[in-house]
Amino acid sequence: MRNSGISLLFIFLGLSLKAQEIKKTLWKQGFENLIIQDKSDSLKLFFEHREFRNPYHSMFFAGMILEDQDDLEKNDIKWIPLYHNQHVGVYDAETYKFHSLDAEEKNFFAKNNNVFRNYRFNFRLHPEVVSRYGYYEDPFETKFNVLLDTRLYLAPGLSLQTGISIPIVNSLDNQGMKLRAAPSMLHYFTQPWNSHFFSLSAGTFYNDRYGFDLEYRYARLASTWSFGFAGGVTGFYRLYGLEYYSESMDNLYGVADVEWRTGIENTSLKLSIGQFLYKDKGARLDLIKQFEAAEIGLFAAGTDIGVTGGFQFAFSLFPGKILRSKKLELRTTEEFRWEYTYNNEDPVARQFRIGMPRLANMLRNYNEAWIKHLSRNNNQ
Amino acid sequence: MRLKIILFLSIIYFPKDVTSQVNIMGKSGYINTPSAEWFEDKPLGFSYALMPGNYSVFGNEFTDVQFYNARASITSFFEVNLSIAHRPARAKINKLGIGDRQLDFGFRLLKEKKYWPAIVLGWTPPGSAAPYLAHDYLALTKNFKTGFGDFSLTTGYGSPYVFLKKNDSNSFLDFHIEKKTETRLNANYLTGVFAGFSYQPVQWGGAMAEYDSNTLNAGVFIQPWDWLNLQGYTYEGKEWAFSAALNFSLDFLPKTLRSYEKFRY
Repeated sequence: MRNSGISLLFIFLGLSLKAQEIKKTLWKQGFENLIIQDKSDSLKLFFEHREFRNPYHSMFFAGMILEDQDDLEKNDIKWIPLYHNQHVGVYDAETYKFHSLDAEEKNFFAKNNNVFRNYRFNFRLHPEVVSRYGYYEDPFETKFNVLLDTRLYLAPGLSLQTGISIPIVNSLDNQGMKLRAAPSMLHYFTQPWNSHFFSLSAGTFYNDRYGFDLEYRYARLASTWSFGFAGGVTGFYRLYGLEYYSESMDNLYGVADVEWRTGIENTSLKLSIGQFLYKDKGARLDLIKQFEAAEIGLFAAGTDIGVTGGFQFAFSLFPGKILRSKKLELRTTEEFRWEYTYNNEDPVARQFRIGMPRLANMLRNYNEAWIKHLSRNNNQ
Repeated sequence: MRLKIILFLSIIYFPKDVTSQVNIMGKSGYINTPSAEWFEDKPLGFSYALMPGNYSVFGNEFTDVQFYNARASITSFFEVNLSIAHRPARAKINKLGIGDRQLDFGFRLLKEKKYWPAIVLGWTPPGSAAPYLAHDYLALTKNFKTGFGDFSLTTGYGSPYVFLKKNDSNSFLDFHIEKKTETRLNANYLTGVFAGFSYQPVQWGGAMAEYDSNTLNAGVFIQPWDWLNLQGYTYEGKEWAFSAALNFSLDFLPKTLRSYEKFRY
């Protein structure tokens, strides 16, 4: 009895040593908030990896690294990728079958989630491009800034994003070329009930907006349908170095949408209806195609202000990681998104970016069907 | 001797799929004419092409045209093309800005089979008040692989009609249908029967000829890498021009993962 007790103790010691080793190896490759729930034949790995736009890539990466570990004999590995310090769901490492976390898993995560100790200081370079085409005197009026920003976790799901904006070119407006603060906001991301996602932001955003923004999305990630609502109260602002100009925060927007994965070659259709920026009521239809390295979308919109069409694309900026040490990381943005609209005179169905992917765009990459597709693609 | 010939032929024979050339507006094709080829593994394309003034598609206006094009193959049967036609001489006189924007869609109706050609329908949605570049067409393309190189043969028909938006109208839907050549535009791009032909004896290049429904044109192309296509061509042997196209895949792993995979093996 005593003997078996000792050997059990050794097994546990061995396991936890192994877990420490795995954590160390993964941490070196950019994984953060590593929490391992280890049982004799199964392993659950909670982690966040901020470099990739597709969570599949972080899971694939973790899989390769674990494969390279000697004497790790687990046949039941589960990935629990985290986004902004919150869990999205559980994926089976073999089949990528998705399920939401159960109460026990949630408790385990809540107990071990340490928002200060488990993260690096993570800085990212994020380009901001605003352009207007078509005027004869300067056909390519462009404002191009490079943002160096960071996200600091303050509490579970609560983070502060801030940084500096470095102007490179500005032939678009009178904002000038002085160094200024990048969009800075307090952000709260949470999934209080399974499949119900919330994202709340307060601060300064992109497209010269400041104020409050709320997003809600009901997305069962193994399903083809998802529904969302986004709303906010914002106003115009602009920074000129340390000086600023702002208008009152009285512009209300509220847009509801429904998105459907068609099942045809990773395309989705999304219909958004409501009041867009500038009290512009109408609808917008998006066709979105997901590629492994990018997303390309086409859209058409009709509102009180007028009609327009255009396209958008999003991708991770090359090369990803620039430098990484034990406590510090500098990388390029995980998602650069750009939109072109045909109607360059009227702001038809205008929205703004908040400094991180919108819920619909982010959750699209967590969809089980999409992740399974990528897994098939990479294991041919 | 016979063995040598067979050996020689087997060297230049390559079973790999051909990377298509692109036309002036950045879609698969030859010089002016489109083909029914499909960029299966290269869904994203950017290109530049020069069109000599004497062969301009802008009706009665004979100044050089520079095309800047982007193409995205959204699915294996649906493609979207965006072109900007910049006319430097015209831009100065009329304060035009960058130029005319042209948006069109391609629908692959049929994949190429052993005996069947590929069929593609090209459609320009109405909405422009000056649709010089608008073209609606059906193209059929068949490839032949032989021991001494690859051939592609295209024939098609471009609609002589155009959707013309009323000049003073604000609505996108307020248009009428007219014959291209009979409108005030006097446009004639791709109206009627067109045909194209290319011969690629080596993987990195070949020659082509076409009848674009108006003139007979010919040229050569080289593809030093499978993502790059450079073309030099002549319109009726009188004017010379060129184009360059980049075609990319969008299905690949991030750099970090590619490096790690390399480091593993």
